[in-house]
Amino acid sequence: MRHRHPCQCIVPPHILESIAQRGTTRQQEIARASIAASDEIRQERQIVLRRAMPAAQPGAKERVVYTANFGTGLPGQRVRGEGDPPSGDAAVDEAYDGSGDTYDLYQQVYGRSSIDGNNMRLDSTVHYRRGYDNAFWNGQQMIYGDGDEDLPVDERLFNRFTKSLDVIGHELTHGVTQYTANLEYQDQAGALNEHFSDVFGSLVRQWKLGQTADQADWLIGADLLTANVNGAGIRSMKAPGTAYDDPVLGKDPQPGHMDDYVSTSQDNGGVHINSGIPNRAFYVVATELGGHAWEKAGLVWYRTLTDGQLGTQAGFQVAADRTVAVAGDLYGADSPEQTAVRNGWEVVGVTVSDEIPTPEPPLPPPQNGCLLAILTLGLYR
Amino acid sequence: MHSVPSAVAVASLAAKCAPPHRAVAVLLWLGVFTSLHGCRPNAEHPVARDQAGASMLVRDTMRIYFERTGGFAGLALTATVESDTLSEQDEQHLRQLIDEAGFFDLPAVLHDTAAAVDQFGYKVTVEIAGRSHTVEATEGAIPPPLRPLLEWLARAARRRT
Repeated sequence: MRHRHPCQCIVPPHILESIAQRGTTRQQEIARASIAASDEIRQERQIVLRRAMPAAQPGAKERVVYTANFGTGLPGQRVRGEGDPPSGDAAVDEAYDGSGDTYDLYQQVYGRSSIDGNNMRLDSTVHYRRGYDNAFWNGQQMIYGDGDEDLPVDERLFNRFTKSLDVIGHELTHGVTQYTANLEYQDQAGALNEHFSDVFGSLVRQWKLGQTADQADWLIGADLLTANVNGAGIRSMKAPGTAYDDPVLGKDPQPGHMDDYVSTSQDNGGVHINSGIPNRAFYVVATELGGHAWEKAGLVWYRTLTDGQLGTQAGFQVAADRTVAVAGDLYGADSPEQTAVRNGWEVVGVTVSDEIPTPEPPLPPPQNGCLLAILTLGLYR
Repeated sequence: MHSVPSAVAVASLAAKCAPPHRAVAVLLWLGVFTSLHGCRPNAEHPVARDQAGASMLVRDTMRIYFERTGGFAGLALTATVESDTLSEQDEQHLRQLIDEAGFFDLPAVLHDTAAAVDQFGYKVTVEIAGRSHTVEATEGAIPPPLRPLLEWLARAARRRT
């Protein structure tokens, strides 16, 4: 089976080389196959890197949707490019429209041109593998599976992953994060990476539907679960831990407070689990401010993600401190906006001390005052 | 030859049986099986050939624990597969996939360093003839020969029954 995934790194090359030289016959065969696959992948990666170079003109939205034809080859066969009419394939057209809506939110609301801020082309691949219950960002593009399309209808749990607009916004935002805060995908920094993706995924859908914070359902992946599952979606930003409770899927494991933080080695330290804590903080902030969540709460979070101050290893406390500071910069110290941000984090058990955000310019240092006094006295003499 | 329970013995999305219960069930089942069928030699399997001193019963039984975590939904998908509960055709296919993956020669940990996010993580333990090996792999680091085995196990785990 050919494996052509461009983000494959497989076993570190030096270990493979060592196995190829000193392993048993069977080990040598496997190591050689892996080395060959890695070489192929490296070549593809170079092609992908060249392809991903921002070549589009300023202000231009450029989308391309490919199909993997149920295999693993990426990006796959080109189906629809920018300006092409609908293809009639639901997954292709949802990926096209959804990436366009997400581009528009970033461009029109936050003034950002595409993932990299420089009109990088938006590539999506659909029909990835068979029975693939997932969507992901591989460092260069978005990739979507068709859910449980390979199982009998009454056994299916997941629909195709392009079906929810917020999932597309979530994946595209992983790209934005990679080009900005570049949060490590582990533990709290990883949970923040997931959180920013859920925030802007949800905001794309709210923006598209013209919903206010109190009208929105704050669900992630509301269209992903089939009727066989007892659940409303994959995650709830409003009430983490309540999205589903099903005999087969189990219960939504997300906490909504630091007291219930989940320590686990699975899922990169629970990045899809503990994101419930900052998700709920954002919901509280947006609801307290009222109106359209993308206007104020969304702007504070966008600035926090992209202003270069967050750091790649930020935890929840740092994120809370930074959002409070950014809200102070944007709306003033002790403004209703800054107070709402502070309250949002407080509700989930993250306290931001009063000293941290100092939006006003600092007072002149005392020695300058002394110097001025001395000079003034000198002049009087 | 085997009319005893078909397909996957325990395949669940959330490991519904607590481990002690599962162990008891397996032991009970093994007792019934051996009294009905006696021991069955399996000359084809290379691992079984290696274990000259192992008892025939242990040699014949293959057990696989499968776990897939992470992904967009962050759901844990698990399955335990008993070779003796499979049809002969499925069992042979599964043994072939394990052999073709070079499973017992794979490193215990296969992690990639790519910028990929929302990908699955896998953990598979295979027990054959008293021999056990566990491999943990992130999706981007799966060696191509291992992928068919993981796909077979994921499909088994995704089935409701």
